[in-house]
Amino acid sequence: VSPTPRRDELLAEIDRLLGPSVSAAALSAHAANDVFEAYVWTVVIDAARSLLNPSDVWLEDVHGQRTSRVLLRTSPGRIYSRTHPYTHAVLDFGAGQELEAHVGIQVVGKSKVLHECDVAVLDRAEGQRCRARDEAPRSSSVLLAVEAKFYTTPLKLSLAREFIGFRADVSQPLPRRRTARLSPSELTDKRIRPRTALARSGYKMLRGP
Amino acid sequence: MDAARLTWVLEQVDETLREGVVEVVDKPGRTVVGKVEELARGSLTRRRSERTRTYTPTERVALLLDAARRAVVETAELEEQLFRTLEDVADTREAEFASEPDDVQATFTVSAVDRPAEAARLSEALSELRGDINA
Repeated sequence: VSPTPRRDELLAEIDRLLGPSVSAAALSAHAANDVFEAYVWTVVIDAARSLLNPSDVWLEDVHGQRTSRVLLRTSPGRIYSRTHPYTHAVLDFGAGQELEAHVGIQVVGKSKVLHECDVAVLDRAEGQRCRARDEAPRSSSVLLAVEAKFYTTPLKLSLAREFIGFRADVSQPLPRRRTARLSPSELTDKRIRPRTALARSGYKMLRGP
Repeated sequence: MDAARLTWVLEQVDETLREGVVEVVDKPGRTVVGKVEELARGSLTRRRSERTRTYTPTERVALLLDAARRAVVETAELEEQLFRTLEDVADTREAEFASEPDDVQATFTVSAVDRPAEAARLSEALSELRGDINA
């Protein structure tokens, strides 16, 4: 790419604009990644909100108190940690159908090994049980696990391979009966079981548009 | 980018340049670039092979411009979407981040701010330059 006067002007302008345009999240790779995880978390929350009434979605801290403070982990930790009043979202699809959406928690895989989920949606009963007993959630109760990677360049091959191993240990097959009967028009039907609807939304999110 | 405290972006670009472009080779004459997710599927590796080559000078410039866009422009867009949802759900436009161990000081707060007009102009300038090198 050879320099020309116009390109020189463009480069000078980009250089001038970079400083005031940089957001707080862009100041470090870690901060950008943390904000990206929070963003993915809100995508999950929005998917639930599209199926629920506004009052059926709220934020809660580790003590079970409703909160408007959003405090998230900078790296995956224990769901029962009381070091800080970390925030998770409660998605109330009705009795026996309540879910929780977390950022950065560890779950136990089928191999009994702890895995880190950047974003996880699990049964609320499991979340409450784990917080009461200081245990990590079982992967069988995890409806959606997201590995969030915010890179400014194309993802490395090794990351994809790591994800395959993670997926093998935490994934649960969805019953064929449920996935087969879900159509786009049914996404607005609140009678659809949340496990199916959210899983499909999450699938779309992971695969992209 | 150094002055804008975006050294980490340059480091990611440097690392990517060192690793080169991963190509998935399908049939003679048909090459798919950057389909990393396809390599992860075992069945495809039986029919395809992968190879790595170095970035061309034009690709290097494009990589840097795209990285700058993701780091600066797209993070601002992510923040905006994030705060839009938080405002609806919890009536807040602020998110705090804290590490779990107390002894690690990794805490920061991100608040919604009006994005300066410079961000929009930066996006335009990057697009203009990106289109220019592809021409």
